[in-house]
Amino acid sequence: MIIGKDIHKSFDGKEIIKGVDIEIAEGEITCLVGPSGTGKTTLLRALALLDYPTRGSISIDETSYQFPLAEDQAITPPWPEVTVVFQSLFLWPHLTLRENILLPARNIDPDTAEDRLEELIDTFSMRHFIDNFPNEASIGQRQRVALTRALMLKPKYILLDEITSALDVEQVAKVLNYLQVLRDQGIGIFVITHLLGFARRASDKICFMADGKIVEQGPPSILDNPESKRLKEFVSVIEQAH
Amino acid sequence: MFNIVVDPFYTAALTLSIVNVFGVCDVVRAALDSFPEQYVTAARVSGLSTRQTIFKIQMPLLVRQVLPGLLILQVTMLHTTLFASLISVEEIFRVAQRINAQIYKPVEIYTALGVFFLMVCLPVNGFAMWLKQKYGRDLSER
Repeated sequence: MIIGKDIHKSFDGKEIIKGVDIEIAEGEITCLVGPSGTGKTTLLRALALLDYPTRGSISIDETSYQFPLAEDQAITPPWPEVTVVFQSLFLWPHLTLRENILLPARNIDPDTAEDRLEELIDTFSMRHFIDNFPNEASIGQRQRVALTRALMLKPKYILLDEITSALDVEQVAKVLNYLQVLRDQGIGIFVITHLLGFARRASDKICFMADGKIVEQGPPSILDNPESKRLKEFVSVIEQAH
Repeated sequence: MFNIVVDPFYTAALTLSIVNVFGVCDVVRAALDSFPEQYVTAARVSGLSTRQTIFKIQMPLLVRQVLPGLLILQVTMLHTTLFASLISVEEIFRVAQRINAQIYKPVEIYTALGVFFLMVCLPVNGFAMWLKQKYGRDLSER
């Protein structure tokens, strides 16, 4: 389990995350929803230990870190057991999409990487563009490739930042189904999304974040019966927009 | 001043080398400064080793970025060698000047000099274009 306790993160003296407690359990899909600019991506980067919190503690399974770190304390990188798909995807532009996936995957499983990729190519309908370069693919195609690159690493936890933003309904449904398969395999999944429908259908737990804090969390039903005024407003604005 | 006589050829070679070294440093430094850190982050979370990150991600992208600048610098350095004639180095421009002083046929001599420079520069240019075609594919996302 990934457990973040009392996480604070400041940039240039400005506090972006203001004491967040969050848990990502194995075999569960946790969705983080909330307005833009409330620190969702900052929180994700902290949980993946890409950026260290200013204060607080993060535990990944048996390993625990208290921040700020002691002078002689070093972080053992949790990647790729904990892996991330970024909103901006960060596909390597000089490699084809296939190479983007296979380069890290061959480290994990050199014998079966290509066979596993063939399966995922069919699952996410990537056959017609998999040998293109990233700049020859649409954003939706790149999102599927970035997700595949992460899935090929056999992660224990996968943190996804808005990976369905450019996908059509059919592809969102495919991603959702696949995430549920991964969840059933015991992988802990953390998803930042603006799609409330996706969050309702996919998640076991929803956390609503606003102004640097988790305002409300619970089962997907909190989106239908929000307790806090802030979540009520958020749900109402999003649903009016759709 | 110190009664030391240094061969003008070595003086010119050393001076041009120093200028070239600083030029190359500047091109490489600019490329390193502007290298998109997110590609390294993606490599880290994908579990690539430091060695793989350097050789498979950073180096290929950096080479593509610095190549045009380096080639332009080398062609500029080739042109700069003409200044060596100012300190009496027997380089091609000075030889042309001396021949011209003896036989006074400036059009023929300097045309031959121009043709010679073309013969040196065109293959370098061709090589640069070949490299650009091979490695200089537009990588920007649309």
